[in-house]
Amino acid sequence: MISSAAQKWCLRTGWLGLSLLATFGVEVRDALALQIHGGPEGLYVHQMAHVHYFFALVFFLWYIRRAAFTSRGWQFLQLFCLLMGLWNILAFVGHIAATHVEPTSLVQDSHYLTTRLLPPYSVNNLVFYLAKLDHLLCVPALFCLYMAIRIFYRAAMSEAEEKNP
Amino acid sequence: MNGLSMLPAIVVDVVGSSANIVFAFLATWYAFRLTRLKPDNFLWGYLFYVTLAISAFAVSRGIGHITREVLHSAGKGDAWAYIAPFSGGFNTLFMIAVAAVMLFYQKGVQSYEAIEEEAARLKQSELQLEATAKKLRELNLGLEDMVEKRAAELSESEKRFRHLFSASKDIVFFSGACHELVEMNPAGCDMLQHAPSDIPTMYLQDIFCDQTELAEFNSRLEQRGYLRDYEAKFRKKDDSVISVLISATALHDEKGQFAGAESIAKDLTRLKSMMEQLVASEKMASVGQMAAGIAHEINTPLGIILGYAQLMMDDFPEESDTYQNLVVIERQTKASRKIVANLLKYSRQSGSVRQPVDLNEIVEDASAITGHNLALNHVQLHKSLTRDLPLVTGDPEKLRQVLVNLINNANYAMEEQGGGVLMLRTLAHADTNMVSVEVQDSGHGIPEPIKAQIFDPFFTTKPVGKGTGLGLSVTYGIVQEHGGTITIESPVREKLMMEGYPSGAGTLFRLSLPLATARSTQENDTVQGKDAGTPALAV
Repeated sequence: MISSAAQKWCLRTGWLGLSLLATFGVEVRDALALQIHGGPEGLYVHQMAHVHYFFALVFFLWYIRRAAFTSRGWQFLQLFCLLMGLWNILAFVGHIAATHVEPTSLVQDSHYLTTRLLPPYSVNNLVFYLAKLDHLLCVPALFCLYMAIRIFYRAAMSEAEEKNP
Repeated sequence: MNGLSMLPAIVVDVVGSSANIVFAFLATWYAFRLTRLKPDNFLWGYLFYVTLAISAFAVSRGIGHITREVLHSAGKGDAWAYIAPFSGGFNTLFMIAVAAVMLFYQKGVQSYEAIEEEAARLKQSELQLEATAKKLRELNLGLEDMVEKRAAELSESEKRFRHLFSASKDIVFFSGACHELVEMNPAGCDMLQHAPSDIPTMYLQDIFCDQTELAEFNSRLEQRGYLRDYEAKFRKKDDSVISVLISATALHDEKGQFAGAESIAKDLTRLKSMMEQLVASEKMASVGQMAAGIAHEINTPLGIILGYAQLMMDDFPEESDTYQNLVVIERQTKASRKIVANLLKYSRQSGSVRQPVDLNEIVEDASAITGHNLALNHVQLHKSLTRDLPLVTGDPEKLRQVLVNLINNANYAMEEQGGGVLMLRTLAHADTNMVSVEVQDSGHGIPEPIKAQIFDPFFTTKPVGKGTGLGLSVTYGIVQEHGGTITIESPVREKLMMEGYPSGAGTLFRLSLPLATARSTQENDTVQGKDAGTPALAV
């Protein structure tokens, strides 16, 4: 008799194995019986994910403000939502801009690190360049998240210490 | 070199991705500790899952970006082309996961708010409950104190009213709906001569002498609800009667039905007796005045008639009819004058001598005078004379007449029954400075209705021709003149019995006279028509 815990373990491991095999072990070829997913599909899904993420952040921000949580931790969390929302917009626009950048606009001399964006600097190209610096938005956003959670933790810790000195 | 270098973007990409991973993990770590610190807090649990999803997203994205930059820098662009779809796929997947978890926040917060609200409500309820419990405890403690205080007050009040009930000198009694006696205070029991244990077995009709009075008492009480100053007569256990003045209040049950009464009865016997004495005294005084006036008016013509009769007797021989008629006129006129003299004695208009008198001697004299008649009527005479009896001040002749009158009355009272016992007593009362003489017989007694009349002039129960009705009136007048009192007890409490003779209710005349003072003992004053003191008559 196999225990229920062992059964669960087997089930989970089997699913994981099948997932990995499907992901890495199977080469995508034309299959007449299957629907074909062309190149732009992935980008569209990704963009939709950005939109989804953006609205989720807006929703989250609205609910925080609605709940009238006013402590410093919640203020950091609101800031996280704001910055991450802006990052989503930037990333969304950046992905679009990237699809319109002419391959001839980017050149490299000898090495990848020497890659340059050549003039003329169209708006699209400039947006593409700025979007490449998106970490300037998402790193502060995650820093705010970290700060918020840390403040919550310390407050809870102080409270616990007050209760049980 | 034309164009914008992409190197800053590559550097920012690599450093930023790393920083993202670090911050995301730090946030996840603190969120995890937060959940450990407060495992029951839904919000912290929710934030932990958000940070976990963000960490996963940061890792997938950061590693993808770093890998891309590294592979491109190493000239392995082809390899990246192979990995890029997977990296992008995971990246998209985790981004959606983060968004999904965040959207779950609404429900999370709602649940949290609901829980918080419920918790706050519970806490509030708990606080209210605690406050209520505290109030209840205080109230309970207060209630105990209040009950204790009230009980003490009630006990004190009950004690007071019980004392009032017990110590009252009037008759206080409670009766029930069927007019049964429920309780009576000790004074009431004493007055009516009943044992307290007898009371619950008795009814109002047992103590009311007159049942008509009882019916009226009940009727008025039930109609008006109260009764004030209702005069009635109560019967004692020994069948003697007392006059009472009753005030009563009806008691009703919760349906308004008559449930009994609480009554207070005041003994008026003594008061009524005193009132009767007062009325009798006043009557005697007025009758005395009238008698004195009449006596004076009649005395003069009688004197003239007697004078003329005696003058005419000189004019006629003794053998003549006229002379004999004049003798009759003279005799009857003298009889009339005697009556007038008695009237004057009654009204104290006649002359009086004052000297120290030994009542024992007076009794001896009177018994000697009347002894013969007593013996003829088979009346056995007993004397109980106190030795060394103090002297009184008075007229011995009049006092002798008083005693003779009283003995003759006693003799007459026993005549019908063919004899009896006559007791003569002399007593000294040091406490009141009085000396008394008692004349007690075993005759038929004096009926209650005529007790108040026996001292009235011309009142007599003897047949016509046998008595003038002035004997006791004169007695009363003389006693009054001497500042004494005369009381009657009939029927007598301690009856005289003699073998072979019937014994009636009996009558006792008690004559009380004040002791002679030192001054009066030395003086032999003659008092003419003067009051010697305040007389009293007790019947």
